[in-house]
This record gives sequence, C-alpha cells and structure tokens, in this order.
Amino acid sequence: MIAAVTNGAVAGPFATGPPEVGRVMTEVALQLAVILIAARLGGFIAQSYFRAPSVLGELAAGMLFGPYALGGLPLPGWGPVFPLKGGPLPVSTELYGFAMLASIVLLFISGLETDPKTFLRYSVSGLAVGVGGIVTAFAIGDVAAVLLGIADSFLSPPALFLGTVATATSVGLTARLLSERRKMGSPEGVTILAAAVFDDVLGIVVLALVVAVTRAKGSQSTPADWKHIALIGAKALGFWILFTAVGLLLARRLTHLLKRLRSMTTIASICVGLALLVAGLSEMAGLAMIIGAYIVGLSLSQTDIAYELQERLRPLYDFLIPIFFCVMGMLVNFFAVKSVLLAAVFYGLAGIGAKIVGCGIPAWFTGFNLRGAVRIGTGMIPRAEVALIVAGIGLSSNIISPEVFGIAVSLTMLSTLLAPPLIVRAFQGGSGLRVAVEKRKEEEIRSVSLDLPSAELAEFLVSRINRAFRNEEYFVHRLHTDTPTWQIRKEDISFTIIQDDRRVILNMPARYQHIARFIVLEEILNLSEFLESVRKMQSPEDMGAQLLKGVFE
Amino acid sequence: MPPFCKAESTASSGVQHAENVALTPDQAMLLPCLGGKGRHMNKRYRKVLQPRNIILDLHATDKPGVIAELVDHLVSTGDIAPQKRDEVLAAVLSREKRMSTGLQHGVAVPHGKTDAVSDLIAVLGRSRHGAEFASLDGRPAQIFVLILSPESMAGPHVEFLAEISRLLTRAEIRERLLAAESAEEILNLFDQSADR
Repeated sequence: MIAAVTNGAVAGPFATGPPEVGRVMTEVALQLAVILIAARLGGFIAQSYFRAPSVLGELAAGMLFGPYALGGLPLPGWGPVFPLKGGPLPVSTELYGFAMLASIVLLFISGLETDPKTFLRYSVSGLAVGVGGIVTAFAIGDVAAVLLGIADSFLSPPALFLGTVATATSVGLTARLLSERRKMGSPEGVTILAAAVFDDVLGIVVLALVVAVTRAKGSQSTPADWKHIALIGAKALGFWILFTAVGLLLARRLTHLLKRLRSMTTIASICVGLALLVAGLSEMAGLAMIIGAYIVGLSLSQTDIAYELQERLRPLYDFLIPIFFCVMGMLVNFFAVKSVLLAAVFYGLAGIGAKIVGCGIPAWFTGFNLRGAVRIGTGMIPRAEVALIVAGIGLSSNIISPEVFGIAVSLTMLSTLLAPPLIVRAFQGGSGLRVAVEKRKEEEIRSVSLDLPSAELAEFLVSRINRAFRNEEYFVHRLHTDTPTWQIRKEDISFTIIQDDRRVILNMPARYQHIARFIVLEEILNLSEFLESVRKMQSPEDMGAQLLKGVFE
Repeated sequence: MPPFCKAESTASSGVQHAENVALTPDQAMLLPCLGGKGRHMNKRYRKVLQPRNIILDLHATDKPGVIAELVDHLVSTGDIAPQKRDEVLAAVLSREKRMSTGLQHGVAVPHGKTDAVSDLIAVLGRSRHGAEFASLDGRPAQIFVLILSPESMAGPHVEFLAEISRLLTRAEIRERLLAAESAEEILNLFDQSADR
C-alpha cells in the first residue's frame, strides 16, 4: 500500500515536472510523517514515563530517527528516509525550512506574549536580573569556548555563538512549573517573568549583533577591522530600533484597519504574513529572521487582538513546535559529539551555573535573600528554542562545526533535564525576601464580587457576561490559570473576571469601572428574567417522560 | 474571598464591594492595560446626541410620563417611525420593570433594546421641577438620557450608556447642565467633562 502510494506520488502529480521533484516531495512527506509521529510519541513518553518536559522527548526522537541514527538506515526499495546531506546541515533544505518556519512562528508568538507593562512594573529587579543573566551567561559561554579549545579568541565567531547560545532563557518551562505550584505570583515568580522579558529583548539584540558581526567577518578574507564591525553592529541595532519603533507606533492603527476585515482568522493569517515579511527583511538586512518575527509580535502585543491572535495561532504552534525540536535533534551528530562529550557537559554545566550566579546576585541586591536569589537564578536556567535556533543559524551558516553544534545542544538538554527538579526544590520553604520590600505603587483597581447560589449558575453567568462583552466589541480571552479567569480587552481597557466556585469576581481599573458595572448589571437583570422564564417551563418530568418514551418506540 | 479583596459585604444583595483594593502581583499582572487616554469613546455622544435630541423642559412629573415624552420626542424628530412608538415604549418600560434606571444625584438613564431602531439613538431631557423615578438615592430625577439600541445588532451600546453616566458624575457639570440655556451649551458641558 505504502509502496503504491509512494509510486503514485512519484509518477502522479509531479509527472510533468522534473522527476527529482517528485522524489524530493515524497521524501519530505515521509520525513514529516516520521517526525510528527516520533516527536509526539517521544514527548508523550518523556512526560508520562520519565516525568520530564516533552521537549526532551521530542529532541531525543529527532536524535533517534535522524540521519545519524535510524533515519540513515536504508529502507528496501527506497533508501534512507533521512539520507545524510552534504554541506553544513545533515537534513534537506526543505525539511530545515519547516524548522525555520516553526522558529519564526515561535518567536512571533513569544513577542506577542511579551508584556511591556510587567517589564516596567518590575523594571528594577527584572532589569538587573535579566542583564546580569545575559552578561554572565554570554561571558561564561564565550570563555568556555576558548577554554575548551573550540575558539582561539574571545571574538572569534564560534566563541561569540557559544556565548549567544548561553544567553537566552526560555521561561516557558519555569512558568509552567511555578503556575502548577501557584508560585507564579510570588515576588520571585514575577521577577523571573519580568527578567525574562528583558532577557528576550536583550538576547535578540545580542543575537542580531553577533550574526551581523560574524557574517561580516565571514565575508572578508582579511581579519575584520573594528570600524567595519562597529558599522555592522550599528546597522543591526538600527534595524532593531527602527522596526520596533515603527511597529509599536503603527500597530494600533494597523489592527484598527485589519478589524474591518471582520474575520479573526483572516486577521491572524495577515499578521503571520507580516511576521514572515519582516523576518525576510531582517534576513536581507543581515540579521536573523527570528528577529523580524519577534519585532512584529512585540509590536502587536499591546493591541487588543494580541490574545485573540495567540489563541488562533496556538494550533499552528502546537503543530510546528514538535517538528522544530525533532529536526533540531536530528542535527546532532553523535560521532562528532562523542569526541567532545566532556566539553559538552562542561559547557552545559557552565551555562547553568552562569544563570544561577548571573541572575542570583542582582536578585540579592534588589531585596531578595539567598533563598530568593537562588530561586530566581534557578528559574532562569532553562534554555530551549532560542538557544537551538541560534545554534542552528550558526550551523547552517557554517560558522560553527557539527561538534560545536552538539555542544550547544547539550546546554538545552542538560538545562531542561536539571531545571525542573532544581526549581521545585528551590521554591520549597519560606519567604525569599531579605526585608519586607516596600509596597509597590499599585494601579487603582476596583473589585466587585458576586455570590451566586451555585457554581453552575456562576459559570452560566460568566458565560453570559463574556458574551455581553463580546457583543460590546471586546475581546474575551480565557487565561490558562487554575481558577477560571478571563481577560476582557478593548484598546486601553482591560478587565478580568474570575470564577471561584460560586463567586464571580470582577476586577476593573477605576477609570473604566462604570463600563464593566453597567454591562454586568444588564446581564444580571437578563439572568433574572431568564430564570423567571425557566419557572414557566413545562415541567421537567413531562419533558423527561416525552424523551424517554421515544426510546422504546 | 481572595486575600486581596478587602470587602465590605452588603449581605442582603449578595454583592460585595471592594474599593481601592491592592492586588497581589499576579492579579495585577492580569490587568496589563490600565490607564490610557480613553480614546475608545472618541466623543461618540456628539454623533448620537444631536442638538435636536435635547429637550430643555420636560413636562411630565412621573416615570411613565417622562419616558413617553422622551419617546414621543424621538417620533417627532423622525428618529422613530410613528408605528414603532409603542414597541419602543414597551421595551424601555420592560427594562425599567426589572430595575429602575434612576441613578443618583438626579440622573436617570432609561434604556431598551429593540429592533424598532436600526442604530444607537439617544435623547436627553431636562426637568426643572424633577420627576419621581425610583432612583437609588430616592431623590427625584432631573436629567434623563434615554438610549435605544437595536437588539439583534452587536455594538458598544451599554458602553455608551456607561460613558454618558460617567460624564454626569461631576456635581459641577450637573449643576451647569440644569442651568444651561441651550442644547449646544449642554453638549459643550459633555465635552468639558470628557476632556477632564
């Protein structure tokens, strides 16, 4: 059957094109099939049997089924599913294209999820922790490369790349662990989140600079002169600042226009299109594509469609991410890594230590005690997609060798493996604050709570209130929290509704409270009318009897 | 009650008010877009409340009378078709039956949803002597804003109602509105309140 399908594909739709197109497309289809199934199963096994993050399973699946392992073994009548390609990348350009698309979508979403307001609110400790982590990790990564003999100087491209790989924290894993333990709102949790925002932004800037500088160096046969490097760096920074400024300025106007299209699906597609467009422009400007995608996400993060966009893109994200991690796993050349295994472990541990120290010390200086500082440091350990993307860029541009790529991947693997138990352990025990920090100036928030007779009725009322807000042209978004919580946004206005069993809690900024109060009041009045009409309903027994009678007819 | 809520309970209604609460950081984070310039309203009342829809002297002295007078005014200006008058009146009175729209400080905002109108329309009426409106503070009402919106069409209708009410929260604006000589003067007062 498979052979027939395969032959059909080869002879069928591609029969008019050159014969190799058919073969290549068939190869990509088979590869994606293996990747999707293996990555998902790998993720499932990692989570269910090893209680490890699914990322590890996806990476391991890639290593196992990649061109350096099972994927390289020939199948009868076809050859290897993942034939080893020449050039810097062991997988085909087509397949790598999917991983690139995944990384663009990923960074676009991570930009969308950025909340500059959090970042401002906890700017002091967040900035200190973020910058401390970035600088220390970059320095240690860079120095490690030289100590391990991978690079001859601190400014050589492999050293710069290993420095950059070490910088980018992927806070997703920490956020999940902390929210499961209801610690996300702790001073440490919020500081980690704020620091992660600085970390993301600065990490991207570092990447922009490193890519620009190394590419400039690569294009010259003579040693790069500082003037030229400074010029390239300025260009990278200029692109970043220009596009971010233009994006932030135009985002609201743009979404206002897009909303005329009425369909959120259309709007989401156009926004992904824009992310790809700016990604392409940023590549043309000598930067990495993900930088452009991140800028577009960041610009749209402050618009009222941000949550709706995240929600729409979630399926695309869920589909592409396992492909991304699996393909990254496939790039690991075991034979090359074997010779540098010790170096890989050293680099991995150095990268982990760098974040604990680099983030912990600034945390200690901004009001946390040793326990709090360790918590923040461990929370910043995880490296995942961005580290892999950076390593992938290095590998595909021939800046780093397969050995160095393997070393870079080891940081992702080790940090993902070690972070969860470390974070869980660190967050046990008492307060992480050195002194009772002075209360931060809070926004003036009004809160109203309504007690309903039952949780079911509370749930019903919340669904009606949400519908009423939608009718008033608000965007309603369910947050991924333990207690059902919805965020309701329109332009500058944001409310939250929490359903805590029988209680419905409404939080509103004082400035806009009148709007929420009126909308909820109208819904409560509608509800009472609705309940009145229920009383007039034909008796439930009669209805039940009517329904059951039909069963035996 | 979550720890952040310093609430005063009004047990009889089952509604608890917590004013000026301090949020824990995670709860505060759930409200990322506070402040802003309130551009969303964009003085929409200027579009909806035309000078011809402002009545300086209402004659009625009770709730049904005031509502009927306001609706009849909209019929006379052509905003409501004469044959739809009763339908509109029924919609407003039915909403009034569920809970009075008499707020405080002499302000009332009777409203209703009905497909007898195809767009948001409003009329403002002022009564020198005041009318009994079953207000929250028990005082007679003097400023009435009747708002009608189509039932089957979504749009920021309740938001408009809320915004109009907010513009009338300042005592000084209400006093000047009661003393105003013309419709245009009243609209200028709204502008002042909105620009605050």
